[in-house]
Amino acid sequence: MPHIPLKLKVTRSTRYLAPHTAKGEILCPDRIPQGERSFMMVLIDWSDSQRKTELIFHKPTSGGGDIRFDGPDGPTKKVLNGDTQELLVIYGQAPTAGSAPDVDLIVRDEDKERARVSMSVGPLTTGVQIRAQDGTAPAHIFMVPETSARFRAVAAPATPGSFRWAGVPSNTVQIRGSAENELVEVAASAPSGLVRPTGLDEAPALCALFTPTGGGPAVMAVHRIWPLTAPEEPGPFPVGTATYHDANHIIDPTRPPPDGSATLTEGITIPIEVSVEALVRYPAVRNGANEPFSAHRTNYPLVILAHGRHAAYEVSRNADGTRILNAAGQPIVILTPDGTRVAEFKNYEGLEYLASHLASYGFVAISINLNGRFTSPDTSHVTAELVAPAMDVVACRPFRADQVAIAHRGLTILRHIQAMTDRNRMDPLFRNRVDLNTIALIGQSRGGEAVVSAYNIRGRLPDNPIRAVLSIAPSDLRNMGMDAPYCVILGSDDLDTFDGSGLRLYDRARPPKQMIWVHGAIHNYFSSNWHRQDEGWAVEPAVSRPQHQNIAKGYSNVFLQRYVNGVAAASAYFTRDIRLASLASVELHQAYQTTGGLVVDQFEDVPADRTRNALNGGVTAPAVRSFDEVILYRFTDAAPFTLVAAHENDLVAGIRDLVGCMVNQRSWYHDTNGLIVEWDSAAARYTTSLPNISVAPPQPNSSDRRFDVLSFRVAQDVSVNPGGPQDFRVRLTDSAGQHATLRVGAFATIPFPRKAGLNIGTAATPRTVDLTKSVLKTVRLPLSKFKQSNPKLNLGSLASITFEFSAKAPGRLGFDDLEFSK
Amino acid sequence: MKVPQITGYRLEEVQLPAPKDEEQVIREALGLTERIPPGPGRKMIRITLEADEFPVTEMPLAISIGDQTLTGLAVSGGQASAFIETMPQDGEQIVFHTPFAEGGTVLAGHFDSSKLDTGIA
Repeated sequence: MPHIPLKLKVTRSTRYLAPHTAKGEILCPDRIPQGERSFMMVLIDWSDSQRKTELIFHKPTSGGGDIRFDGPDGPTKKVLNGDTQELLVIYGQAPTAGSAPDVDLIVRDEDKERARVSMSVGPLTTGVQIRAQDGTAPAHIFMVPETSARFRAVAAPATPGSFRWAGVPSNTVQIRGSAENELVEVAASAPSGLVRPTGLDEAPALCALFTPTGGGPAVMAVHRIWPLTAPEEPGPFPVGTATYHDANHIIDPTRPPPDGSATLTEGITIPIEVSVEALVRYPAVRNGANEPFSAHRTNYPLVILAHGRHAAYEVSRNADGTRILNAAGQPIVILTPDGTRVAEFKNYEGLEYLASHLASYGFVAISINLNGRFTSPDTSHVTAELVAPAMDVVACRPFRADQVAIAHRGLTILRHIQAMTDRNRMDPLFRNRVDLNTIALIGQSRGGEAVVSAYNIRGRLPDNPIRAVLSIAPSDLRNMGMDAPYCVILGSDDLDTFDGSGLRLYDRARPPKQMIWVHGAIHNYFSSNWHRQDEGWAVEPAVSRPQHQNIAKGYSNVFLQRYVNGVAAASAYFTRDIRLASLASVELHQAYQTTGGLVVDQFEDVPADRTRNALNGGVTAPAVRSFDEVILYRFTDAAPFTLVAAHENDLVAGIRDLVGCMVNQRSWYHDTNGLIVEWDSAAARYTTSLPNISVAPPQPNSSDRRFDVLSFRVAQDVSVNPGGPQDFRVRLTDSAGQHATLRVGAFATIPFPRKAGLNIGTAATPRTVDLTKSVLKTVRLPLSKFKQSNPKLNLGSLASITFEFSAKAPGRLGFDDLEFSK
Repeated sequence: MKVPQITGYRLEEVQLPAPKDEEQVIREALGLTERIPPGPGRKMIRITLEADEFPVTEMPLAISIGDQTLTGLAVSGGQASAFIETMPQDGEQIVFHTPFAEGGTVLAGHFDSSKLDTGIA
């Protein structure tokens, strides 16, 4: 009888003599192990009176079982005042003598005893666990508020029996439907006034009580749920810290493969020696160095953080980051403590903030040294083998450069997988606590491209354990693609990867993929120890350093929750349904594409054909000034070239292009073909025909795909548009002529491109290159809203999609990836 | 852009290692096999330029001396080293290529063999 439904009719006081009722329940195992914490869930709701409830562990006889509240030396009595929603810790202090229960749990109100349950302490023959819906995967710790997930209680060994579920606080963790099934649906909420828990032990809890058929002792599982209300704030796990520094690794040059493609090692002809050094942050029992891992999970996914190419030495600076100069006007290089050599600058420490954050959410995060082998013979010379290689540009469009050591960085990342494999096998701290079959990579700058390289290189061998890759302000020197879940975070004011290189990595990646474009974000503030001045920013950028770090922390977290932990609802952070609360003042734009879409047009016809879409439907555009399928990229030169000597002019041409002399699509930096539509009349239309396709919700037992939205990417060109957000309408028309129209501006903002420039002159005589970028963002128009607009619209037989440019003229917009999607 | 002041050169004849199969290099990184030292390869000239400071940024950066492109360019602190096939001639232009410079190039001086601190002959 461990589930105690409470229907206590009590009298409030002799003064009023009015009857009052408390309702609620207590979930409690009737046998608990000795020497361990167990739990009891108590839910009491007094209707309009607040009275006391007493819970007492009573021993009818001396000796034998002993159960305490809170811990081994805790009390045997607990007084609960008024309404209660608590998960109480109980502790089996001494074992039951014999097989019969010998401890009573007594439930009293202020008047009398209301219930009595027999309990015992000793080994359990049956256990129960709360797992994910499939019954085998670990249950999600993290849930996005206002979403639901399914959990399954699994008895071990498999035993027939009954279940009872409950959650506390009940307004945060709600059981939907029956609470007496093996599988339940749980809705998470973030009610106003919800106090953010300080750790997992204070987090909302889900309990499953299992009572075996035939009278065996009931057992209970408790699962904590952490609402992802602020994924940029610290998570529930204390963070353990560690470091390692293994023997250096040497990456030898590779020969060209038989197919004649570029060498893996980018034409670098000498061995590159790299250090194998990292800081480690992991979920622990308490904060501190080398503390034991948290026992909450058996093991934890590995995340490898890769910094970018930055000087491997540092100079003295003022508090604001400006360099301190010596009498000769030169920066002062920081030396080793004995003053004999240049000290190595630990670029990887700049991502420690992100490693710690991810560890607090249950990831083993390592930030690795990508300086390469560092040597300094004296006070003026240094060599850092991964920093040293510069660049040999070999193609303009698509841009590609050799000898940039991206692959060497990727190989170094793979070396660290081996380093953690060794630790998982041998190191007492890490042994079997790292899930090496579930690895994610996050990198910044050249590190942001190196993680793509590492994924692709590892993919040449079977059983690639890398599940997801995220790039922050990445370079795009090797023209690579991606076919794992991918995310890229970019700043509009980045003066380092100033050509928006991450846009092209997004374009080439296969879905699922997502992008965060941050107006005002720069390059160096995503690292905590890089300075804006090194990037060319003399003044503070529009987005502060803490905001940069919140962007990295928040979006890395939800991306990993989605694609490493399988929290499907976390995608809402990329579809603009949810924003990070701490970034309310920052202008963000997102791109998002998931798998399984029904592509209407990607504008990739070869040769370009603006009159047909991907479904072979016709396209018309009455009253527009122009519409064309074009490459949405600034450069036009597709010929390979070598940087210097015979092809020097090509580079010069490229530079001239940068300063605006040779313009293809001046503000576009994508690697995709798209549609450019220009209009100056409110009568302008663009209609793409559909072969009476069905995007209606599937019938039960149907194998039809389900689509939730009409999705496309769109951006303003820097020319023609009058300024401010652009807008237009989208009309769906069915085969019977019924139609429904939505105004895009009601669902998303299409911003005017943020102005950006790069000074290639001097402070005294500036000469600014215009780097204003048109960045495609995803607009998702809910099909339900079309249906709501016109209930007669038949989503089972659509005949056309029309863009109506009646909202604002003139205009010039670029489009891509027109599709129906989930 | 600050133009590096070239203060000296060093030229050495070196033997570049023979390249390996790509899968071998990947397996070495993953610890799936022991490293096999690369065998001997072709002879080249390594030129090391010494300057007050070379720009070390993410930006495109290459160096040419006369008609020769410096391959395998490595820049670190006050040194830039790379490989060339033939000895540069006195008076040949040393040119830096970077988008930070108007026109994309910066003349960093002319090759002057009197600045050599080690000859290859």
